[in-house]
Amino acid sequence: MTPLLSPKIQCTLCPNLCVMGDYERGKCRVRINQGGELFSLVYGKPCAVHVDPMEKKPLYHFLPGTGILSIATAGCLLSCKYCQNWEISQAWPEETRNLDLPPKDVVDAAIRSGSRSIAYTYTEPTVFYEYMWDTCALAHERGLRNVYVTCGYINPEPLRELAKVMDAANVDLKGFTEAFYLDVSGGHLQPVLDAILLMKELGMHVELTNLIVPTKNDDPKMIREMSQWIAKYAGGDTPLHFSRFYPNYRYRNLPPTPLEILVQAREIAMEEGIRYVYVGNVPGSDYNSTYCPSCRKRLIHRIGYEVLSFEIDPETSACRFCGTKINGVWK
Amino acid sequence: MTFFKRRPKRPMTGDWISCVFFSVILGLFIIITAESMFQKKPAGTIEPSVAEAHREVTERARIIREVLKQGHLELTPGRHYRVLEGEES
Ligand code: SF4
Repeated sequence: MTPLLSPKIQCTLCPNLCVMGDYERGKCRVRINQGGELFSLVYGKPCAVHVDPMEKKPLYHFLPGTGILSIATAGCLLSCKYCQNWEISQAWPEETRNLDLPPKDVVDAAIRSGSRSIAYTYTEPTVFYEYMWDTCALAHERGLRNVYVTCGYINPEPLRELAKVMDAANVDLKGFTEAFYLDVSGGHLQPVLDAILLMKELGMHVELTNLIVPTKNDDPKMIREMSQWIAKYAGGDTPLHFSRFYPNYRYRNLPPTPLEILVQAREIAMEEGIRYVYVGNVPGSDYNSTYCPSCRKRLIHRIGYEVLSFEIDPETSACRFCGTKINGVWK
Repeated sequence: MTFFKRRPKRPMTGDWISCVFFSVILGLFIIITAESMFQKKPAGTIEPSVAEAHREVTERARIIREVLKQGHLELTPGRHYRVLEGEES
């Protein structure tokens, strides 16, 4: 006789480790237990598909100036109160307008659009892990690269498997205290730090983004501690983007990040030994360009997402003026 | 006349018969009680709490079928999970 009730399952994809009864979904809303087996509700069902410049991810040291086909499904593992894409990240998959786009069609679309890579982005791509993984594998077969734009909230085992097919990541390091993660994002800090180091160890190109929210994570002391950790463990040549917050979702009461705060954060990070520090979401800022850490000459001139000049030898990754090696993937 | 007349002594055989009789009755009672305690429920009999949980799961299944239809979604096998043996929904 078949048992009346199916067993519970535990999803081990992200540190939330959701336990689900039959026909229950995890916190991300897109993974479900049916009859004691786990299923994804969003495989091949993206709700956002666009061609963006690589600089929008933001990745400044990975194929600059190229186009990247970017996809997302509904759902997220966290619930950041300032989420800039909350309409889809905090939605149930049945609430969004989804396309029917299996992995092969994503790769075909990327090639047709002239993109050199595919980004898994906008919401949290870990929630559509299987769809992402299969698309990545097909993309590699067709000579495309893959980019993971993530909050870094993923367990080591799935990350190891993903790194086999993923080339680069931009990890959103949201703050540098456990209290901030708990209060603002509904997650924990340590798993994110562990994931950043594991990505580096597994050979992925990694850049970090820190969105500075006024009064929430703009304390210079916290920014200094975060910069010290990055310089010490992830390495001083890890590109770091301080991104400007605009009022959104549950933090509509807060003002946009003042420019001085972003510039001050950049100075702190450079004092702590991080060599490539950018200010994001501020069109026209001088701090969007890449400078050689040795001769200080401008190597990549950016205005907004446009690349106007490029002075790095793609073969040797060296500065064209002084020969210093610049961390990145340039071809 | 006296109330305290000494009862005539019963023959010994009577005592043995009643002793065996009561032992058998007591034995049967113990066996029947024990059996009913460990006996499996006949098919179709469900504890009320399990029936309630079953109703709940059936309702969840109905909702998910609606969700799949409404969102044009499908279920695709996922990876990275473990079954919690012995923990029913
Ligand atoms: S991926 Fe979703 S279901 Fe799995 S543990 Fe994380 S939030 Fe829960």
